[in-house]
Amino acid sequence: MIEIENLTKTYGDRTAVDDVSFTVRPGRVTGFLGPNGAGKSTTMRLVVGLESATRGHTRVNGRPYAEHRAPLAEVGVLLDAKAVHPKRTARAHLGALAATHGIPRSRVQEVVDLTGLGAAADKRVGGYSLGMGQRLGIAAALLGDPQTVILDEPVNGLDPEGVVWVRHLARHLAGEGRTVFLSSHLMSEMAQTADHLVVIGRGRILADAPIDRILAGGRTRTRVRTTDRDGLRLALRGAGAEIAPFDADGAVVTGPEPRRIAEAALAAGVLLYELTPLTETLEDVYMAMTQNEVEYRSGAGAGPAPADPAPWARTAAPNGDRA
Amino acid sequence: MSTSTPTAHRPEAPVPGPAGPGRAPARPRLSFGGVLGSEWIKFRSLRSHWILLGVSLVLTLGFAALGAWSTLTVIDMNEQAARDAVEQSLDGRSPEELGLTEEQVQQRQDELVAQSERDMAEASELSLPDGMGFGEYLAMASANGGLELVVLLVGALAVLTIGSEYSTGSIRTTMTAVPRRTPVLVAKALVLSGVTFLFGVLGAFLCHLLVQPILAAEDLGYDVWREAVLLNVLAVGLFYMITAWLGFGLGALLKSTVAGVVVLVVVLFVLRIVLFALNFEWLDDVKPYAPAEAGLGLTTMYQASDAVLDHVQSGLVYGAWGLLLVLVGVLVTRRRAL
Repeated sequence: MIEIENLTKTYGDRTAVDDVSFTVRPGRVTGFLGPNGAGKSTTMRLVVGLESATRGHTRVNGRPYAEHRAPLAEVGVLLDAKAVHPKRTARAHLGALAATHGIPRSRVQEVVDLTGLGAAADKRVGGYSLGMGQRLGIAAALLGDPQTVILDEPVNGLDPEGVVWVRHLARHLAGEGRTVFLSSHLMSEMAQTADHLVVIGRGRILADAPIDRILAGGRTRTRVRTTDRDGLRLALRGAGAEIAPFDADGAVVTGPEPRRIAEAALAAGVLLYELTPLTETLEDVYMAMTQNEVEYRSGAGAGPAPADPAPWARTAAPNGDRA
Repeated sequence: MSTSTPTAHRPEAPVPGPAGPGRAPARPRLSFGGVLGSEWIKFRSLRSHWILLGVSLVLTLGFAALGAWSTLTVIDMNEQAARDAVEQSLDGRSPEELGLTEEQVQQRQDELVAQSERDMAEASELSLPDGMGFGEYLAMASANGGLELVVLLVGALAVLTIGSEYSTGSIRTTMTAVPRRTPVLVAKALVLSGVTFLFGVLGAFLCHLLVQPILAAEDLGYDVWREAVLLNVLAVGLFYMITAWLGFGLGALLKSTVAGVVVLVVVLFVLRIVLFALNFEWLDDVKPYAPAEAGLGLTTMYQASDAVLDHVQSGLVYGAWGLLLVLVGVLVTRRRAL
């Protein structure tokens, strides 16, 4: 369990994390999603005390991280796989970490086997590929058999097989009742791994909801073409539809299901000659949510049309669903 | 699924151990002893540390040998000068012609050598014990010939142990495991203290052994077990240890090996030269308290007769500088973002 309350971190006049509150619960995989520079890593660094918060608190398993008697056994962290001396072997690195907590040598071997480091464990870390480095970082995170696991961009640099492996690992750990908190800037990755999403953009929480609710929250949109846009507008009155015209004869109808649109058109004698459901993927939702929050936007297209504020998109209320 | 991949983790595999209570033999617990053990593993698992110590040892021994040879030269020149003086006073006549025995000539020569040694001892303003010749002093001191150079390497080693944590980013891993941070720095300083003290004592004693056969050529060998030698060996160990504190404190403060070593050189060398150049009388009482001077006061075999601080006091002053820097390093590290 990770509890974050009104967490704020400013660097000079730049606010990296802006009054963030959310809870990461055990037994499920929580994805921490946001564009680069949105404040994901800063939030995670604040949780384990590598930086001190300007305001607010974080607690892990009921206490501030630094107050635990065995921090490694409470929280396993992978923040930066490169945070290893390149001239040390993986075994020495893990051994030194284990020694601080009196974790037995056998456990070092266990995590070496578990993460597939194998024979490379006795080689110097400097020669590792990005993927091997990532595996070592995950090995270090699991060393203390922690109840809570925090992994910052864990699939970064992993080959497809490694990506699948991390996905399984995360699910398995959550299945054991552990708290699993993964960050990523890749929506597709999160869609396959996470049960719950916390979306952050420019230091603020944009959404905090189960992944299916985030998907369902996107309202149905349908592209129609008709000879009589005004007639259609009239026909759909009272159906809670929003109609955005385009071209000479097109419109995007947001709200009602395609079938409902067709029925209304038929009843009103309006001819429709296109009726295309616009499927909203998690990717679309995410892009819509974060498009104003990307710090360094590429000049290219601004992505799909912005959706209305969806029911799950939070404006202010922190974590209303907390028990 | 993942079964075909050798490294894949299968969901049904009995993976990360006891989620439930009471299975593990001993629950992991962060302890200072553990952190100390961890820092020892970290020290010994880097080859560069051992290379640096090896190079330091070779230089220590090499400079001691050089010191011994140059002592022989000084002694040789001194005796040559005495022989010349005797030759001159004989003025080409044989001792028999002047009614002198060989022994008397030899005695005269020895007197001249002794006189010259006394003069040198006086000029050096050292408080040598009664009956100790300057040649004997030079012989004993020759073992410490490499001290001032090697201490820099030892100091650099200390800077490296913390500077490399920052340059490689491993400080973040280290401090995540020990979020209170202070135990890490204290443990690191202790490991360094042990290593550098032992290195100093061992190196210095080996130097005293090494110079014996060289000095024997002029019959200048001395007993390595005498108190002055043993105390000096101890002093060298402390000197290296405290210098390691200085280097470690600077490294922790500056987060950088290069910056730390540069400042250490400034503190140990440049400052000393500057102080030497500033020839104000009121400074004379202050100079011995400067780090480098105090370090020298600790390791010198015999002190100047007008020394402000004796060996122990010098050691305490030098130690205070070292502890001060470690303390500053700890305080700064506790607060900084990593």
